[in-house]
Formats: sequence, structure tokens, C-alpha cells
Amino acid sequence: MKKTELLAPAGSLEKLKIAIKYGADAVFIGGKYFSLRARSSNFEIVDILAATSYAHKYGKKVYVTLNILPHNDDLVGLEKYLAELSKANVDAVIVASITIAKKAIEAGLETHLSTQCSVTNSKSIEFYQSLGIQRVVLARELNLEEIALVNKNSQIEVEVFIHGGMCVSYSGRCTLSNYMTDRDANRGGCAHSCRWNYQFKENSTDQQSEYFAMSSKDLNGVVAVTKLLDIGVDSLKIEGRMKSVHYIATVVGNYRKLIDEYYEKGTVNLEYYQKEILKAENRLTSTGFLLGDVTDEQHLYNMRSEKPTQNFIAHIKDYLGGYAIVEERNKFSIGDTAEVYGPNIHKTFIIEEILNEKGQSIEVARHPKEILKVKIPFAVQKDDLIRKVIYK
Amino acid sequence: MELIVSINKIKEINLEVDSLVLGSEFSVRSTVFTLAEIEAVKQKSNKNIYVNVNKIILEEELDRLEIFLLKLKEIDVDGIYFSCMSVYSLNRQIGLDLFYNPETLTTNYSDVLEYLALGIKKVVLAREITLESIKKIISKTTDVEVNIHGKLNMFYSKRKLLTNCFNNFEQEVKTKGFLREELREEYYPIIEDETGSHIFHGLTLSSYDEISNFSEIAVKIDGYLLEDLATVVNDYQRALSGEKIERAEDQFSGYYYKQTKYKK
Repeated sequence: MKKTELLAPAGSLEKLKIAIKYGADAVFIGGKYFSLRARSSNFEIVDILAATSYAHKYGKKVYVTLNILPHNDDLVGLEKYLAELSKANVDAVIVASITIAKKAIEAGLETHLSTQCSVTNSKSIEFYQSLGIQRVVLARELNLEEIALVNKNSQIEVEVFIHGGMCVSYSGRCTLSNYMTDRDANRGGCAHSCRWNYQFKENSTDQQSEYFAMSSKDLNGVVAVTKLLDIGVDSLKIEGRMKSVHYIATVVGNYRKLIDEYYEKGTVNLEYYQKEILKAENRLTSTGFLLGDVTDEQHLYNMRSEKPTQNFIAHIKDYLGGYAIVEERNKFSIGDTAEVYGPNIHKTFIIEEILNEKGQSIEVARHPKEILKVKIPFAVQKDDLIRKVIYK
Repeated sequence: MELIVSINKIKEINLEVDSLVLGSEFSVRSTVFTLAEIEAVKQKSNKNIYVNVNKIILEEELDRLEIFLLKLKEIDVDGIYFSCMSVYSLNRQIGLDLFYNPETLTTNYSDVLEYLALGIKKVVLAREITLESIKKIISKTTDVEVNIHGKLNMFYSKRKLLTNCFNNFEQEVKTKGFLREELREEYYPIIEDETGSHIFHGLTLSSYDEISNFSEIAVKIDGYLLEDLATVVNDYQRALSGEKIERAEDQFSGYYYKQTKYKK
């Protein structure tokens, strides 16, 4: 049986390397052109080449998003760009426009259809297959039963979102941002107008108004992973090109372990993975549509749920003679209980010694990005992360 | 020019237009007519009769959809609007005239030409592009349709957003009303039905001046949520005969003259 791919996002080359180190089989990135999520689409061709070189060294893949819905003048330079991507050895492109799809296929690139096209059934897939598309990313509105049916009847690869932010609308079918802020949601400018606060009025002269919100909780599909592996979908996708190194490492690392454990043992401790992934979440999560129709459980009401997590305290850069060389991220002190989390490690220790750049012993580390030495009683590796353990 | 109107009531089949659009059990954001009603309209009227089959289709609905398309073929309707590509695949064996209307997705001439090359008869343009863009597309092909008048849908979710919200606050559920963003003045109509939740712009798009640019293509008055279609049709007939019709206060020009920003 073919193993289901774990597909991770990366907003930078650093994050791409972290995603691969923590177990992603493939990573998707945004180039400078033709990509949504303008702010996290910063890969120049030279960066894309660096990304594919790094990934291919480890047998991993790189997909590039070209998922805007272009207006007439936005297609200038498309063919040249696709030729460059092809030369940069990208493994596939993710597209929403039929023109970009056809040109990408002509350029010899493997082409995946974006969730922007809201594919919900196998007859739609048959159409896209006839164009030469090799994979479709399903609409996020399908539940497990529906995914199973579509997957069974599809002759090309099927990809499913498993984790991360999600549109409350059908992706691509929302222009609130266009109308309310002049920012084009389908060309990379989405202002997330759906996350704002609204009032509901029964009629246009109503003095009374009621609070209304429709913001979606982020998707967390941990409970559905083993079923999706049973169904045999080709790829499980984590969303979040804007997310931090800590988030990518935690979410990707835990899905990797969960998937491997299930393939190996046929059973997994979902509670453990839920708890671990929560350590990096800064928004509330839900199962989206995966377990059936959404109710109010899947929405955020009366609150903005962003609360930066403080427990990520340092990023390990090296380990020498009992000391980890770290880059500080959040405040920590002598006496704190901490855990090292990495692709191959998950161990707790008590912080006994912190040295600053001059080699002086300090009590508290309080400057983000400062390079410090922290005494750790066991061997750690570059790109392991240190979290403060918070007892609740 | 082909003047099209999507109607809400059977008696509106007598409006002075070239073609009528009827909603169906497989449509969204249109008044639903039964197959029997569609058949009766087709027999009674010598106008082109088009049917909205623009729902996003689930796997389990495919068989029912195929039977439905076969019946439309039997009734000999003059074309159907669709959004989900399953309709295209199923129609290969059926042969209805297809009009592609995925609303937000059709934003450039190159995509339009690709769809036409696949045998689709007409592509409905997204409402989020400028008049200049529309004219450029028309210069490449006249097999396009522009929505000239109606409530603009800005948002479509499969979620029951009103039910969920009122349930959360343990209030009586309402499925129709208006939304007002806390920092803005506009009222946006919101409707929840079995296909999900739909939010519309507060103003109605109108195109009395702009219609003269569309003499070679199909234009549609989207009647959904509108009351007096006879007056609307009459206004456009007068505009077409050269009369100056002013845009009313509750109307606006959509994106004809407004370019959206590409990036943050």
C-alpha cells in the first residue's frame, strides 16, 4: 500500500528545512508571483532552487503555489516563470486558473488543483484529469464519508486538508475583502473580513441588533487522521505559510509520529498527540467538516482567539560539551522546568545554568534572538526546540 | 444583445426579454422551480429557457443529477448554467448547451477562451472585474455574459452561520436578515438555506450607462431577492433606446470603475 504523504507549509527557507527535518514528505511554498497569501510568498527563483536542492537531498518534494485567480493583465510573464520553476526542479505547482493549469502542464510540470476550485466529487475530478491535472485538493467542506467516496471513485491523486486555518466560506467564493477593503481576496490580498465583528438586524430599520460573528476556528484533524489513512487519500495537508518555526516543528513532527505509529502498530494514542499539538496552537481549533456538519462548536464567538504561546523559549543551534547554543525566543529563568522537543527527542530537564555571549552566568534570559548557552544534561541536536513546561 | 432575466414567479415569464432563467433543485441563490414548472414554461413560452444547475454537487448526488440533466434534455431547455465541473463531465453524453458560471472564478479572457475551447457555449464573467477588463474580454470573444443588474453575492459558505450563532447564544434562530460590520454603515443581506449561508452587498448593481458596451453579448438581470422585475426590465429597455436613466440611491456600479488591490 502506498503511504499517505504528509504535506507541510513553509513561509521561508528556514521553515522549509524545519518542516523536512520534522518529517514532512513534501512542502509547499509561495513564489513571488501568481500566489495567494502575498505576505508569506517570498520565494525568488533562487530561493526555490535552494528549496528543491535541500528537499531532494532528503528525498522530499517541493510544491509551489500559483493559486491566484488572475485578471487579464496578471498573466504576463507566466510562461517564462513556469519555465524557470521547471528548471528549478519543483515537483509540482498548485493552481486554480485553467490557463495557469494548461501552461504548467505544457511546461512539463506536475500540476495540482487548488482547493479554490471547490472540488467535491469524482465527476469534477474527471474533468480536471482530462486537462492533465494529476492531483486535486478537495474542498474543505467534505466529511470523512464523502472523502472516502470521492477518493474511491477518483483516478487521480486526492489531497485533503488536515490542519490549520480555514476559510469560513467555500474557498474562492468570498469577496468580502474585495467589497469591504478593496483588497482582492483571490489575488493575495485577503483582509480576513470574515473574522471581524458584526451585528445582526432582522430588517433594515431595526433599532435592535444582536451580536454576530462567523469566524472559523482553525482545523485540527488529529481525530480523523487514522480514518484518512484507512481511506488511503494520497496527501494530508497542513495549512500555515504564515506560521512560526515552533508551530511548523510541533504540528508537522506530531503528525509524522502519529502517521508512522499508525502504520507500524495499527493504533495510536490520539490524546497524546492532541496535547502535544496544542502546545503550538495560538487559535482555538475544531474538526471542521471532517466529522460531519459544522455546528457552533466550530466557530469563534465573542472573542479573538489569538493568544501568543509563551512556552517556546529557545531554538537550539548547536550542542557542545554539555551546553546547548540557543537563540532565545521567550523569557526563561534558572529553575524553570523545560522540555527539549525535536524530531528524535522529547525530554524534560531543569534549567540550572544560562551563559550569555560573554560567558557570564545569568539568572534570566529575556532578550529574543540573543544567543545563549544553556546547560542540558543530555545530548541535543541543531533545530531541536526548548519549551518551558507549564503545570496547569 | 441577448437580454436575460432570472425570475422568481411564473407570471414573470411575460417580461419583455429574450431569455428566462429558472432556478431548480440543483441551484443556489435562485428561486426554485420544479421540473414540471420548467417544462410548462418551456412549452408556453417562445423565449429561450435556461435553468440554473449551479450548486456544488456531492458525490452521492451525482446519480440524481444525471437523471435531472437527462430530463432537462428531454424538456429541451435551451441551456443550463453550472458551476461544478461534474455537470460538464456528465453532460458529455447528454449534450445540453452549457454556460459556465462559477461567479468569482472567471476573471480573465484567457481562462474564458480555454473554457469555450472545451465546448462550453458561454462563460459568465466574475463581478469583481472592471468595465475595461470586461471590454478587453469582449474584444477576444462575444460568447460571454455579464450580470448587469442584481444583488451581488459576496460570500458563500456551506455552514449554517445564523443557526450556529443564535444557537450559541441560546437565542431564537432567524435565517434571514442583515449584517452590519461594527465599524461600517452598510447593511449586508444574509440568507441561510439548505445550501448554506449567503451574504450580499447592501446595494444593488445597476448598469444603465454601461449596457451600451454590451451590445454584442448576453446580459443578465439577476432577479434573485428583487421585487419588481417588470420595472427593472423596463428601465433597461428605456436605457437601450437612448434614454438617460439615473442610478438610484440604493444602487451602485460594482467594480466597473474600481480596481482591487493585488497585494497587502
